[in-house]
Amino acid sequence: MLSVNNVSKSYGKFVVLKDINLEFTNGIYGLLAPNGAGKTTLIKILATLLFPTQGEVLYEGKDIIKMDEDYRDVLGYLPQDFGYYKNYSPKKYLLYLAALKGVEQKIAKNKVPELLKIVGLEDVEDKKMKKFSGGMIQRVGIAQAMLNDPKILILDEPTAGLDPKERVRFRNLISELARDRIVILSTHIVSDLESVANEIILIKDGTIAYKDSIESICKILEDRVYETEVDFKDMERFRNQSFLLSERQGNGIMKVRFISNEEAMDTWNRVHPNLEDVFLYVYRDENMKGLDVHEY
Amino acid sequence: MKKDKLYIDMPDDITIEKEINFIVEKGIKKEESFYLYMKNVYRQVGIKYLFHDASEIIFVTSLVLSLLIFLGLNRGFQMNIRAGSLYVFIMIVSPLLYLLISLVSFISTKEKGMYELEMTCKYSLYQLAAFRMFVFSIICILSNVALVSILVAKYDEINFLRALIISITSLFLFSTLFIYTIVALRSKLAKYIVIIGWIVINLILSVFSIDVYIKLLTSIPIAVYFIVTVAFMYIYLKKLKKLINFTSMRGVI
Repeated sequence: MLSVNNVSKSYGKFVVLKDINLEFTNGIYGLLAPNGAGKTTLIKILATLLFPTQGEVLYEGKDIIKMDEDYRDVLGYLPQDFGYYKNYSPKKYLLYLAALKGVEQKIAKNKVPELLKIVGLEDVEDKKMKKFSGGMIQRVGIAQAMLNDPKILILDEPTAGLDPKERVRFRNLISELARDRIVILSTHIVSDLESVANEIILIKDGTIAYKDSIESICKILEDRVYETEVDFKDMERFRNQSFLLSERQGNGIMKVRFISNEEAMDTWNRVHPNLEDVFLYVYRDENMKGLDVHEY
Repeated sequence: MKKDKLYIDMPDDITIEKEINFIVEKGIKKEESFYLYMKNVYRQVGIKYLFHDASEIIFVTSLVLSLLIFLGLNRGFQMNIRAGSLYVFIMIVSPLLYLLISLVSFISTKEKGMYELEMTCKYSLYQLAAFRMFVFSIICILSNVALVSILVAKYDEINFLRALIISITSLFLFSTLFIYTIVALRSKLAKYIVIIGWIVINLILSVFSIDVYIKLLTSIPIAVYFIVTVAFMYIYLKKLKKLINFTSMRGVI
């Protein structure tokens, strides 16, 4: 188990994280927050790249900073922006990182082709990475994070640059991996988490706003999300009255999804809230605070 | 109802002592010696990956050595040469190769964005740097021997032993200072000041008080150089060991 105990991180007077308490057991955790909310700072603390100003992070009861290389030995990490040596092939790059991760050469030689096959790069294993697309590089990044068969897999924006097919492949892979390890996925792309995450962690203003299953988190907006059709001429007024979640045109009319505290009108269809609705609601602008709903 | 007396099978003192030792041995990580650490890194990571940028290192080494040899044998340099000033030249340039090849690897990792990734590997950038810098110092000693040999062959006025010991003392003085800036100084500016300071101070001394500098370098007995070198070698190795476990107060980035 990985536990974050009363962790705060500040730079001078600027507080990034405030008194964070979290516990991770095997499964997929989605760390969801808009850019600049402290998500990457928390990820870097979990990866021992940053140390907390206060508090501690324990793995199996031991401080991860004191564990030093023993912690890094069980860690797989994909940074948001990761570098690579442009003249390396993915095979050479992964063999190099496997050596740094302390994976025995004999094991690495079998593991690298296996991983390249999993991420669909087996045909280009000897091609130089400088010719790779963003999605291909990202897949090499995902493969390197799994080289040492880590017990804790931390992926910061792992699906950036992946096409829809690759995203599906990635989600299936992560679900498979999470059976016997902790997987922490940091993203601001809600759809990446909806089908795979066991728990969602929402960070807001440097604190944990929610940590729960998707189902429970969606209950925040239960009975308050609707869909309806609105005439173009009435849209402006509608926008001012409701908290719009999405709007799209169709057959000369606007189809809208929104949150409302008022009594439902006949033309409104009540729908099940999804994670994206909650995300938009939790991170709504300050001027929308009047739409606060009763939270569970 | 009469209660049965609870019987506890208490272990004897020897068993207790044995169990305590077993738990302590399991729980406390043994500190590896520097030699054993180096051996393990070499065995587990392998020379191929420890020096994955070997072509860059070879390029920089060849370039610096060629430049220094060219400068040493240059006609203009020969004409301006004053008795003893070659020792000043050796003192200033001896650690330059070490500085450049150490910096090349750090800069290359940071520039290519590999820093974060390498810092989260079992063998982090600094742990590998300790091994690499140890090897770099050996490469530099050998390069300095080559440079000094060429200079001695060209200029009769310099003594091989003195030139060599000045070169090695200079190398270890500087490399200790360099490693100190990595582990002890937090500010990047302070690090640059210390590194550039070495060259600037030496240049100022050689320009404004060359006679005093020459006198200083030539009057110090070789035995003193030797003692200073051994002392700095010891500090250097201690600092390299510290680099293995290096993390600043704020983290590694």
